[in-house]
Amino acid sequence: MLEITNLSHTYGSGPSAHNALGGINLKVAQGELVCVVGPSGCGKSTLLRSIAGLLRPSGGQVTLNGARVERTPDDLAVVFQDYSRSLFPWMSVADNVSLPLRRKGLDKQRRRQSALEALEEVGLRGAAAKYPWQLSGGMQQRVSIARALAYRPALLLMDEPFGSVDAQTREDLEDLTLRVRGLHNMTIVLITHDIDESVYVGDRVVVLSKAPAGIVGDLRVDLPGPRDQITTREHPDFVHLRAEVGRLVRGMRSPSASTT
Amino acid sequence: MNGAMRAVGRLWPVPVVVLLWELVTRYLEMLSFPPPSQIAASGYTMWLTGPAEQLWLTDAALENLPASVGRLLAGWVLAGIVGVGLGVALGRSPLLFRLVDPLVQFARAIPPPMLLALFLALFAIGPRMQISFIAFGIVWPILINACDGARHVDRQHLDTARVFGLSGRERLFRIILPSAMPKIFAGLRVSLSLALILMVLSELIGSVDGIGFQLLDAQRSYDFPGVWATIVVLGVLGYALNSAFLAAERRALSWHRSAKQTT
Amino acid sequence: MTRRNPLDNRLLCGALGVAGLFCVMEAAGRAGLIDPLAFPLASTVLVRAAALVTDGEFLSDVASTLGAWATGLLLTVAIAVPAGFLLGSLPRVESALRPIVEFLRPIPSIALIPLALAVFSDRFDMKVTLVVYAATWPVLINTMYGLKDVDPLAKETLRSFGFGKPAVLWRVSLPSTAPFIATGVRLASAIALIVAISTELIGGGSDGIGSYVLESAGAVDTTEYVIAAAIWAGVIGVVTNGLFVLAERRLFRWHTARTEVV
Repeated sequence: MLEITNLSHTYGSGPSAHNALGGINLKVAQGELVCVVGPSGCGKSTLLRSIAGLLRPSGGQVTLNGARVERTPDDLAVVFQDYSRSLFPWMSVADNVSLPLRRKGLDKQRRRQSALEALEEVGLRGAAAKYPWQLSGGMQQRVSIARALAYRPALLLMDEPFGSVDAQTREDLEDLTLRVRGLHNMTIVLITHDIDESVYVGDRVVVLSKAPAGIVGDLRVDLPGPRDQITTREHPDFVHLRAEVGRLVRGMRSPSASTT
Repeated sequence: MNGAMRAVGRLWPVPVVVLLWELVTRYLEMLSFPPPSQIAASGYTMWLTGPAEQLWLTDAALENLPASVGRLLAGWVLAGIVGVGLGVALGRSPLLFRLVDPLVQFARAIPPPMLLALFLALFAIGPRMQISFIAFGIVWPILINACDGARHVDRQHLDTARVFGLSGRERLFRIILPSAMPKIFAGLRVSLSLALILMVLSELIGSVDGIGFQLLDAQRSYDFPGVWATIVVLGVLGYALNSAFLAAERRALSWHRSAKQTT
Repeated sequence: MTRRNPLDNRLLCGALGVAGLFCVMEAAGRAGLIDPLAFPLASTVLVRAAALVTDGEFLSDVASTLGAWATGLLLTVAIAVPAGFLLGSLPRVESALRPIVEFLRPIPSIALIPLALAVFSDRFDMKVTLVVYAATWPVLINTMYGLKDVDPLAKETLRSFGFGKPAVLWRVSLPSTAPFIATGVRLASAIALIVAISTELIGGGSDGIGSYVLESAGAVDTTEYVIAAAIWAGVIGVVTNGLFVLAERRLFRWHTARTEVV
């Protein structure tokens, strides 16, 4: 459903130019949850912004369900890392969630209904009337996720979605992501720098190299489901995959070169 | 009870100063510095000795106060509409900003009394001239603040709006204007106190009614308690306008203050 | 590849904007959209404004206004800064005087002009006094605000080395309050100009730009003179404000650097 061909991007020009993406090719199938992992500053966010149509790449193209992405596609939602800057502080939680639904042409009552359902799915129905800044960081990120869910996107992009919360909340949010993806047959691309997280959450882990980013690994994750924080992380396959991804991220040669 | 006690503890210097002022002015017996008791009496007869059906307000009070406050508020609202509209447009269009910025910087540097002289030369004396003078003189803080606020909208707010496909209208009214609102309010507040000054100025020079005119009238007839009483009324008006504005701002920007406290 | 759009240049764009407005005004006047008798042609105004530079009477009026402005501002700094420090370091006096300040501050200083007209016989003294009264508030408030902002750690550091109160005041409080005072003085300078010219306009009879405008009233080409004088008043406003901003940036580079980081 998502196809990225030869995508490259350079910021600026002349001697100060920064080459962030150096020819990326990636296909994501309907319903997949792909984690993109790479070292900090490798151009993960540039990749995400190109997919979301927030940035016009210097070369190559992105197609979503056969249509080339030139501006933000209709059926795409993003969960940003910085929830405090992505939620609007002047709107209540319910208003934040229902705001994007205007584009779907729903009337006011239907918008509110959908917003409350989405909040229910992330366990925050009771917070509908509050303001984002009255909630903890993890709860705010749940609101962001609810906003994306209510929008019913075909493709959900998550940019380091759990990067700004504490470890416990992070695990809760990871499990929340695994739970909600089953609800609406969404395709999800999750960008992270956390190796454990990419293996725990993903069906597939795509590893990027340092800038200019290229794909250095593409591993299928076949862990027995349902996954949970304790047993999954103990599973020998998990331990093995994690080491594999870790080596790839650090640019070490893998003992069982398993790039597909 | 506790609040009242605290107010007494805080405000005690006021009666002390008034008493001192009374004693000193009585002792000096200067014509232009009447004792506060005389000022109060004069203010009372000037404003509050009307018939009961006018709530005891005098004709002079009913004629001058609404005229002055009306012009002040009309000029302020006009400046608010024009300033926010133009400011947001300048803030969102870098090209327009570069074209107009020097003109804005120049126009706001012209001292308002020179503007008044200009408006007097161009237009006939009357409320329309006064309102446009007030509006033109006070529009700059609003315009510049609105421009600044609209320029510095958080990029992630705008990205989020784009991802979820908000229309241009929705972006303006739901994202850009609300996030520029704290700045706009700061500009509106500066402009409100400036509006009072320009209102008085316009009434001292080109007017036939209003509090400023009454002030000039009292001075011309050497009624110094009247002059002082009018000045006091202007001070009260300034205090009331500022307090009312602060209360409105607190309500409108409650999200802003709280959001800042928690993060 | 790096073709630069000429419209990215700030200076060029600004010049274009000014020239554009001039041309539109001129064209509107010549086409009869604006009656040139009511509002003179842009070129006429420009010529008049240029002619004023060699007009001795106008120049001495400008000098007189600026003289009152500068004297008033200097006196203001001499009064308001020590007063601010005094109030800032004596919290009891400050809390006692605060309600008085809160009552006095909202009074528009322009309203005092009619009273001052009766009190003063000398117009220059009157102008300066009114300027000082009006300009004191922003300097005083900013000084007190800046004093509250002084880092207590810096003060304690110095005190721990055995420095006395005056040394702490001179070496820590004054320098770290200075940027706030400067901002107050810049605000006060604009207010001082407003009050000085207003006094001339209302009081009349003395020298100054305001009086110049009053004297040109009644002539056929009054508007032309008033606009030209207003343009020069604007130039004075831009230049004085610009000088203060420049001085602030020069003197307090450390301050802006610090606030930008935070």
